Amino acid sequence: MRLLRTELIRFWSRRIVWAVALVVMVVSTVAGIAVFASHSNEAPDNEALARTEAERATEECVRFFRNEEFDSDREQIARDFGFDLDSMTDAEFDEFLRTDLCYQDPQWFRPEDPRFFAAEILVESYEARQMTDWSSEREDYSVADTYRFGVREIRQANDGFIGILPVVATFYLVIAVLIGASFVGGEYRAGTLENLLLWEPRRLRVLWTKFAAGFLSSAALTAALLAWLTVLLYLVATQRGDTSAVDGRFWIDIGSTIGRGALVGGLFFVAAMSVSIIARNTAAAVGLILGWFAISNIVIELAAKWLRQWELFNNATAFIREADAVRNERIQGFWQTVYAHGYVEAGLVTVMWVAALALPATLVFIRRDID
Amino acid sequence: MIEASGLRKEYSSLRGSDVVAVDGIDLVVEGPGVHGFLGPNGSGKTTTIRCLLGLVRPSAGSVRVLGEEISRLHTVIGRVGALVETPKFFPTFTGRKNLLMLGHLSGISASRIDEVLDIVGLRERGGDSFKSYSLGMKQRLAVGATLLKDPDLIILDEPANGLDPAGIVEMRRLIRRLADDGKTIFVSSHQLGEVQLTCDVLTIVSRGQVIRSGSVADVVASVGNRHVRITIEDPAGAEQVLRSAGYAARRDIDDTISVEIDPREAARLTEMLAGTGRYLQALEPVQGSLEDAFLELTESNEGGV
Ligand SMILES: Nc1ncnc2c1ncn2[C@@H]1O[C@H](COP(=O)(O)OP(=O)(O)O)[C@@H](O)[C@H]1O
Ligand SMILES: [Mg+2]
Repeated sequence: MRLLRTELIRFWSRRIVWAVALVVMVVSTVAGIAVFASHSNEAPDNEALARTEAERATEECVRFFRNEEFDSDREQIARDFGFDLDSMTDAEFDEFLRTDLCYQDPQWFRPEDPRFFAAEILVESYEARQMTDWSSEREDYSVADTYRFGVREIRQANDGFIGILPVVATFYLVIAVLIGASFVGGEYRAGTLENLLLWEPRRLRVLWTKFAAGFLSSAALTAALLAWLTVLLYLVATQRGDTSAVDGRFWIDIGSTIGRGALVGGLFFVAAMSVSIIARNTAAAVGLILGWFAISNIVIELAAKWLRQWELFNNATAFIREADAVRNERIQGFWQTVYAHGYVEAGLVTVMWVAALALPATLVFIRRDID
Repeated sequence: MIEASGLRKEYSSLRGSDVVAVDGIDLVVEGPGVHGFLGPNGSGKTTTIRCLLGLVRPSAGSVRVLGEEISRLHTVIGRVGALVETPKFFPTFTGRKNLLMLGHLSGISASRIDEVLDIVGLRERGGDSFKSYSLGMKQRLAVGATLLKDPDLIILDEPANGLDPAGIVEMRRLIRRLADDGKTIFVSSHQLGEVQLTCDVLTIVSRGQVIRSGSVADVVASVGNRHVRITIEDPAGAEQVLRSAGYAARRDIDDTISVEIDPREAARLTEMLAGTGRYLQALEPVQGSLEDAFLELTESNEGGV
């Protein structure tokens, strides 16, 4: 316990922790201000606007076809639609154009809603996910566990960005990687690891206490930073938008997304620290992990399609998003991504990856000469 | 307190050349008192100490500290304080915070931290960041860290490094005081004057091997003090006589002759020279020092390189 306390103190005494936290908080505050500035509280009569726009477009189209110069086109149209042009009055033809050929749906002309909708923007509703439907071809490629069509009314966002909290959580993993990779590196450099081992020579205990302290602290840090963003954007929604669709379910989604993001944040600390122990180098560990993050999907696409459902980042992000991990399957000659496993399994795959890094790191750490 | 036998440590480098840092060291340190561990730079002192403390895995041999093998070092580590090579602390934390963090590990009270800061004379600077310390202050903080646990066995690797002359005297006094309190101090050094003044027992190493061990007086007697200096009226003639009798005699610039002989047998010289009608004006043993002993020992060990 004493060792754990010391490691916790050390984690929160490190400047990099506070520096990174500060940068992230400043950036999210700036983003919050930008969202605040770019949204407005006034809900215009979108329906009327859209109707006017659609009518205007329809009339333009009708005018185009009424023009005598387009006679040949009219005959072509008549042939295509199978009616007799000569037996039609001009009025009838106009009506045909207006209701059929030139009809513009007001739906297509809806201007973007200037309000900021809290409910969809932070976490997407289940229905938003139903868009990824890989399962149309074959019965056995069933869609995700989380495919719960019609469970809830679609939350009302029609903003450009939907469900940003899990996406942001994925990028916050970079923080965990930076802090985790430098946690022991700094100690090897300062030589304080030696001091520590002169007080507690049981290295297994020393290392796993570090893992534990780092896991807990990194998870807490990730959660705090996600919570900060949530609070900011929620405040923006109350001032420059709409929170009417916010319900208990929304807060559960927010809470569980932050919880899963925090869990993965803790795990990525352990992973990065493990790599830095094996590689004996902070920069190499950061480069290795973030490099893989950057290129993993390209590698999978080009060389190792089988890897997709087992790859670390794909599973970690699926877990955070409460979405399904997918795999590649050749269906009727085309590569398709189909359901592989649900988000809980994706979480377990992530844990297994981290364990696969932590165990060799433990062996290395126990045996390595400290000099 | 410490036992090592056949201790060996090889470092293999990527370029394939292996370095034998410790080449079969046998060591017994009995407490209480000050046990010096003497050797030139690169002779394997630090590596030996690292092996004793479980920081480095020996290639061969066995080690016991306070009766326990390395695998059970944790059972006795609370009675061991150690400083290895250079002081190692978090540069941005204050001296006091660095000690507090170590102290937390063994539930050491804040008052003990201040006590220790007092002992090493850092009470006033305890609130400054470690990186702002001079080399000597860093060294003293590190010695302070070894004292936190009030240990029975204190291992100090070159504690005088970086200290100014006053600091060295201070360190010497501290070591003596600890020894007088019944502690065992195992202190390494490449500076001989140091050891001669503070140590009771001595182990001299060179190139990873023990070349002499015993009480300081014994070690000095075993190598140094083998010269006498004689003053005589006819130094040239006397030198001739002694040489022809098989002694290593050498005339110095002041026309005295130094002869390699155990001073206890110096009477034979008097007798021999008197036999040729030469009478000594003076005969004095040349005061040997550990320095001489050390140089002689380590040079003969390095010989042929
Ligand atoms: N980690 C290491 N890797 C390779 N060689 C080493 C290492 N540590 C020490 N050595 C070598 O071992 C020898 C003994 O070093 P050391 O124990 O530090 O001597 P001392 O403390 O007596 O000056 C030296 O030649 C040194 O270069
Ligand atoms: Mg050394």
